[in-house]
Amino acid sequence: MPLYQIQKPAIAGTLESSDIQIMIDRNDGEGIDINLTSSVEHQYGRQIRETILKTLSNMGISNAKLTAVDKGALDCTIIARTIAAVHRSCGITEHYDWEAIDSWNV
Amino acid sequence: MERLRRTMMFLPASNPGMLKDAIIYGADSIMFDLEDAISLAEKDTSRFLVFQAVKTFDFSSTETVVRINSLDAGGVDDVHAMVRAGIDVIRLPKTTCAQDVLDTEEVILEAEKACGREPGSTRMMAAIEDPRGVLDAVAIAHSSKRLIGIALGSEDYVTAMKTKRYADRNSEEIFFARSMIVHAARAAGIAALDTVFADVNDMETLRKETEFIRQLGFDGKSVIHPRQIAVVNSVYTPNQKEIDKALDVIRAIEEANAKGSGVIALNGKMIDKPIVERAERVIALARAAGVYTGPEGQEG
Amino acid sequence: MEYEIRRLWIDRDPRQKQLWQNLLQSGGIRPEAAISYCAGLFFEDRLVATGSLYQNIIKCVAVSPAHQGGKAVSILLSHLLSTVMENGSSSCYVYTKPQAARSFEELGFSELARVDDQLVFMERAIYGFPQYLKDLERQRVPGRAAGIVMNANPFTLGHRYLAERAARENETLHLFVLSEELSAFPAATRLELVRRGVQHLPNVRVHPTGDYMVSAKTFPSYFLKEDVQVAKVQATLDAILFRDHIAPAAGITRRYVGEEPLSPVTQLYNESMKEVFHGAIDLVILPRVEQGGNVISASRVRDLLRRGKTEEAKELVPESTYAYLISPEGKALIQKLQQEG
Repeated sequence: MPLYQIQKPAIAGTLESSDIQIMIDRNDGEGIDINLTSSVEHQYGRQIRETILKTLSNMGISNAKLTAVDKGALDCTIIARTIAAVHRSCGITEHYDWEAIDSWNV
Repeated sequence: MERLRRTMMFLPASNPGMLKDAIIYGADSIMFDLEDAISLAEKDTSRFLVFQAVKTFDFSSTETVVRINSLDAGGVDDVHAMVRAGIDVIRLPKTTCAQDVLDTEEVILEAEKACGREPGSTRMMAAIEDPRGVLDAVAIAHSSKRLIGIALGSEDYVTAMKTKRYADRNSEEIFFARSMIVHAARAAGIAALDTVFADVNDMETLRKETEFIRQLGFDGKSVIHPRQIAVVNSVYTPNQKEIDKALDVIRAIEEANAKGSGVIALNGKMIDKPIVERAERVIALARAAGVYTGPEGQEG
Repeated sequence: MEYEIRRLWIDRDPRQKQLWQNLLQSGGIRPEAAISYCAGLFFEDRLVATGSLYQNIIKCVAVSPAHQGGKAVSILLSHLLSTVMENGSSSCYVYTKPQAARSFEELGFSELARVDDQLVFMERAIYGFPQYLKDLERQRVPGRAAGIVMNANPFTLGHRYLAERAARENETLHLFVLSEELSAFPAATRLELVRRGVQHLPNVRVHPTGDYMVSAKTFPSYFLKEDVQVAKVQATLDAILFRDHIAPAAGITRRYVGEEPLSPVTQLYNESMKEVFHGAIDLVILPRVEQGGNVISASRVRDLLRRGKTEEAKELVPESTYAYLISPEGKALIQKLQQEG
């Protein structure tokens, strides 16, 4: 069984400037589906999606449904919010694997 | 020369916008707060955020500090994340005795080993926030080689003392605590940092308070808003007379060094170590404030 | 120094309630009673914005003029959304003025339906309405399909008659049971009793309404003008959602309702549907079934249960519903009904 199993709906991040709010839920057998709302969708939409996708793939997640509302977040914020949402969805609240998290660079 | 710590700016770790802009305000140290500024529901997300921020951003010469939660409330994860991310200093909240420092040090060492960071390279700071800690300040200040300083956290302290803050009455209620902390820090040869000033609109009282703690001997003050930085820094900026005096001392040292002379004298007076240290500090403060840019007294 | 979110105890602290009401009123918003959580946003110890929840519905959002257009509203909405998720719901709804729709869109909400210049119904969800409609489409069957929406609190012979008629007159009947938890019988039980009660009808498909039909109890009216007939707006919204989304997804061309000449609210509801459907969907109004000279209704059943006359209620409900009523679970529920009076 993979380490990170999307189990329940979860949210991480806020709608404040420079942040991104990510909601995640299961998407059994349907792959990754990202619904992105962003004020900078034109310029950065693809990059935001790629950052989320890469982070999920680093975590071994191949099925998940996400909505992301971006307010101009930097890559490191997108990574942090994605990782946080996945941990919450998996019900992990302590003893995080920092070594693994450290290796999830995008 | 020890590093300047005039201002340590508190930043809530939950806010990416503030983390991103952290170094542009010119504080000597920035402190990411995972503790009191963060609600229970956002401890996890904030930790991930600071972890990525510390890994990613270039903080240049600004010292990075993180205030962790107590070890039984998420602090262990805080330490592991921050040590791995490469934070300069771990700040302990609510330190009541030397053992608190030792307990955290143990976790830090474990974290350093886990991520291959040089053991001992993570520095520590202890915030003293209650009467037990104040009375034990000497032991706390001497408890670990990692300690770079101790700080007073006055909000919890005054509550435990059954009083409150009276910033408008010269803060006499924390005079004893300030004195204890600055004495303990000086005895141990580490930095002493003063508590925050809560009213971000009252620059006048902030200036008075900063002048007072500078008079007591504190290295600097914690700040909670960018606009407080300039006020505190300006209080710590030496005036021209102080700079000139310090330069005289430094020139005398440099000349003595060039001649290979062991005895340094200026205007017929011996210059001993405390005078040298003070002169170096004055020049460093003047340089940091941009009021002195000359070649003398540079590092190395 | 910075914005700070604090819970407002409007049900316990009269002073906080007053502050809250003042802020709402200055924004032209009426305070609402149906609120389960109320948050306040403070700036330098002054209440500058507020927003509330009723289950997963955001209500009574007001921001003082000096703090509009800034980060106050995003801090507030972030907090409310997180609270909704913490409470275990993965979707969030808001009913708002059309002028405010755009700012909710920027916060990730999407519009589901709107009633002229009066209100917009919006959703923020991971799955949500598109998924609900997709699931409905999968259950679509060729041929003429009809739809019925009922609360079934609980399922009676009256409901069954309506279902039987619609099932007989159409190839397929889609039967929607309200998912809202506001009734004596829990939503899961109501849904199950409907399923059992129509088991003999092979062409009936039973669906929960999810969040896509609201009752008058939770429908927020705080932002509507005083003189607007709230029930009318609510009924119109429901009818538009049905006409534009639910009916096309399931292929429904007829909607069946029970006649209720004595209830002005139901009549208003039926009238609104007639107006909105206007040729797109046929509205079939059937007279109610009687028993012992009186119309059979769920409220009559509940009344009997409350008075301890389960035996008499037997005449008004199908066997499957009765079997539930005399089961241990059913008895416990009746007991609760009686205690509540």
